[in-house]
Amino acid sequence: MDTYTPHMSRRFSHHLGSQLALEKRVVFVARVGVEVPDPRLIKLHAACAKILDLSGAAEYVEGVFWDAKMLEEQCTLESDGSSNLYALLCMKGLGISVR
Amino acid sequence: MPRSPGTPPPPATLTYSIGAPVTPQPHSRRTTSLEGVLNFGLSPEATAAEIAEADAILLAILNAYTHRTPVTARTGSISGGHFRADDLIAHLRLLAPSPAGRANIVRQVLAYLFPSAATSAAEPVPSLSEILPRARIGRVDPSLAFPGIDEFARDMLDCFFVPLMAEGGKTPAPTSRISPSFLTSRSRCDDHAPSPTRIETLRKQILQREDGRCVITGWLDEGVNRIRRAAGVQSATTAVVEAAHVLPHSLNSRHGQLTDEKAFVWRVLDMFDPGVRVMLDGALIDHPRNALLLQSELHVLFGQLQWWLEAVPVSSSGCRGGVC
Repeated sequence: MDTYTPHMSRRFSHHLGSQLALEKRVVFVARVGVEVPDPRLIKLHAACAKILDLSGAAEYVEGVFWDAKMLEEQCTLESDGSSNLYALLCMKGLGISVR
Repeated sequence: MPRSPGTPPPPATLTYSIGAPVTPQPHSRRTTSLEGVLNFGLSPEATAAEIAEADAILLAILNAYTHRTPVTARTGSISGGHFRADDLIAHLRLLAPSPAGRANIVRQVLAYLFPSAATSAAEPVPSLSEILPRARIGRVDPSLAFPGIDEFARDMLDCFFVPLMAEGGKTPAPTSRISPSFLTSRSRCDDHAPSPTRIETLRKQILQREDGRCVITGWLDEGVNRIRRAAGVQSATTAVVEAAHVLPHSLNSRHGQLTDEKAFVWRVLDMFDPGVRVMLDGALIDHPRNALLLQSELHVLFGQLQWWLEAVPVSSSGCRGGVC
């Protein structure tokens, strides 16, 4: 039986004004032959999320998304040259459009 | 100076002395090809002593960077967002899911900071035994590595975290409704099925495993509720729930050919956790072991790395079945 607790990034509650119930425990149990989530993948996802949160880099990434959204809405990039064209090109290579 | 076999690794707290000057290495590696930005291969064999020494060197460089570089110069900025390059690298090292992943990260950062003059971006990352003589304490002024720290952090964000977060939470919606038999019939993952079919199968499997409820809120899937309502059982709290991939479905290609950008993300993931690429190759990305059932809003935020799950040690997990 695999048991987990949910954890929020700092920007989660900032954006949503709400919080996950951190006291809750999530228990995965295999049923009708369907395997539970692999703890290794859960741990890898958590590591990536925590690295972004603890280093403060999440805001940087969201800045890239903001620039992409502005581009999609045919607005202009930052006139001071701070828009990250390189990251935008990476997103373009993934075929990503902003929701 | 090479150390003889059996020499204990240096202590964790190190200070750099500026010894014989070495030629500053170029750190400006930004190119139009991701292959030329960071080359993440898996770590060749290294001894425990080499790994410990490399780790101590990286910590010393980060420590020097933190103390010698003003905070304002340690931040990258884009549209008002800031990050600290030393913090990002320190957390990459600290939070690597496994010792092998941590060794890979340390080796990769040092290879980036202390490239060989003959190294081309297309070549595999050199072994620690090749890197250490260039980075060894006493030979190098750590400040020469500072621009490389900034660029490494930027490249990790631009080429790994941005695509990973952008791909998260984008699982295509299933095209057909579930039937009343979904709770009892067994769905099998077909490796050769088209992607939309696999997604639909995955959703059915996860609905079965989680009894149709979001694993966080416990709210019942609207489709399942309709079926149960017809049978005279109704839930007060329903929502649209989705099969959420732990690692994004869209990182794999529909036709087996990955773009450079996706291939790069997989290489970094494989660096963090060696072997994970094989686990999720091709259709395996849509296996139940890579999915959980979430309300759509939580699905998007999970994909954007805004929340995560942490395992509870076995001794303190005292509940059974679903959400406690």
